[in-house]
Amino acid sequence: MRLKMENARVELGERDVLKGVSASFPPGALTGVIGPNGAGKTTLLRALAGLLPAKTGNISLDGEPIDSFDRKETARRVGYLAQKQEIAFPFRVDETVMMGRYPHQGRLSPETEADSEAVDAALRDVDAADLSRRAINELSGGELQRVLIARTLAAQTPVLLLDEPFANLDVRHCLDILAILRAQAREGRTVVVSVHDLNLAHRFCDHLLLLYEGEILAQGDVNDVLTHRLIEKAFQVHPEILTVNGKDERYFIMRALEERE
Amino acid sequence: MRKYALTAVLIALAVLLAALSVRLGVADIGADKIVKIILSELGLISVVEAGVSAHERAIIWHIRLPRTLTGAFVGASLALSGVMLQGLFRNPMASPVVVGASTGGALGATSAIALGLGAASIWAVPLSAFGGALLTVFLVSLVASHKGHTPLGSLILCGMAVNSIAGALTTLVLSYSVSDFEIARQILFWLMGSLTNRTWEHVILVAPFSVASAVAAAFFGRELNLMMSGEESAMALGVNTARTKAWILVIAAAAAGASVAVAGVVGFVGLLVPHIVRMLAGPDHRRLLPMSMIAGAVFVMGMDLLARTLSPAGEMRLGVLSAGIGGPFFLYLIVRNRARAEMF
Repeated sequence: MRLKMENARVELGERDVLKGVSASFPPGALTGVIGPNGAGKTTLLRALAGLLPAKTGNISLDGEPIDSFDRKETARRVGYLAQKQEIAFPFRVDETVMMGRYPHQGRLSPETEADSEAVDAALRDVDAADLSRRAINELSGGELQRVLIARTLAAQTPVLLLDEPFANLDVRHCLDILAILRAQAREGRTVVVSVHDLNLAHRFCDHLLLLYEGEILAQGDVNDVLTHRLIEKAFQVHPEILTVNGKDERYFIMRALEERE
Repeated sequence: MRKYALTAVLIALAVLLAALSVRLGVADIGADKIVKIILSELGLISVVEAGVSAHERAIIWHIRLPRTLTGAFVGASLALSGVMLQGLFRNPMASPVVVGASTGGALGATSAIALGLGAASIWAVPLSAFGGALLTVFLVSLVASHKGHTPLGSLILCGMAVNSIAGALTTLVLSYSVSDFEIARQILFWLMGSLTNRTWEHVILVAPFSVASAVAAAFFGRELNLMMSGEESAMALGVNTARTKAWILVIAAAAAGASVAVAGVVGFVGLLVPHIVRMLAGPDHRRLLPMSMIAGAVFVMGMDLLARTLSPAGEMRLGVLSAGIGGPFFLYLIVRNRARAEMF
């Protein structure tokens, strides 16, 4: 599904967080959203998920405005994982992941075979099948994060939006999750993820969208976005870019501007 | 398997307590007579065949049976209300008393009595208790929740404030009514919580609210589960949170209001019962709702039986005993769970 934002202005309270953003998120690609704190990454993802209305402009799925769907219809199309999660009750891991199937279930109908299969597959994808009977309040931060990603995957939506899913994850699981998200994209899904680590963004994403103060500073191919000039402008740091193996692999080392000699 | 065993145990306990509650009392009326009285009242055998005295018939059919049934409905409704409020506020500390539903209900009930509406229609008191409960829960949810989050501190403080306001207004109504002894006496009764002198009228008043709120609640099991990770996450997973919240508040208020209307303020049922059932049966609301209702009925019937046994003249009020036993037990739970304070 093609997710599109046209000249969208989104407010939080009194503040304009997105000031007329136009972007297109193609299916089959992993799009990374990067930018400094407060640039509007979370707001962008929430607006794309239909959780925040656009004051002006519009947000559409395959040409249809996102607010023309009801909550369940939206949730069947767009999966969204928030950055912060609260857990109030000690549900088991499999029960938690099953909650991702909600948009596919009738009000009083029991869980189906398809629901259970989706839950099992999602748990396997995030390498958490062995956690299935554990209580979520007894998991480590990284385990919980993987379970919540599994809950998002279990909905099997054509669009996946994840807000910094890597916080709390160790290196191995971080790489695993990125590989999963990329595989999801290869299957034709539209995957959008906000990332802080520019090295990961460069290595795994197909497209990047650089946000700065509520506006898009650049979007497109990773090498066109992660340039010396744009990184310095957006992040207020001095980047050093190492190129390895010809031009494909790049590494970014950041120094504070004052460190510069 | 364990959850079926637990449900079976709860149902068995409910039946046992109901039977004991009808059997035990100052007058010793045998089980065979009780069965005969019930059968004859239901028209299954003739009164002559039953062969029991009018006195015994009155004790069983007009005193003990309605009292037991009222207790069962009150317990089930309070527990239901507690489960729904805890789920909605994602907070195991919420209860009809904490969020002011009980006090609001009492204010509604006392106002109706003081204004003499009770004489106009038997539904005036429960409906105005429902109204009072609804008003307080909406007020608390409006003030304590911000952007879909309800911090424990806000909820408790807000509940305290609303409870104080409703309590003060109830006292005001009471002091205006002191000149009329009968009305003042009736109002005092609400503040204590009791099942003494409950009649079939009370059963008829509470039952529809109980049953309707149970049926309505059954439709929101999954939504209550999904609310666990916050309103926005629930929304992202497909829940229409605004509509769901409104329904949950209405159902919780109806259940709590009706209980207060027929039994006064009975504390700790709505807090304690969902807690214990959640520990035993897990947090899935589709199990938690029906099981808590049965457990709530067991709790209130048991407390009432104990209150009656301890003081046959009725000085030991149900509300007093429920708080006297429930309160310390709740403190014990807090101490036990202090280590994982975030779950509490």
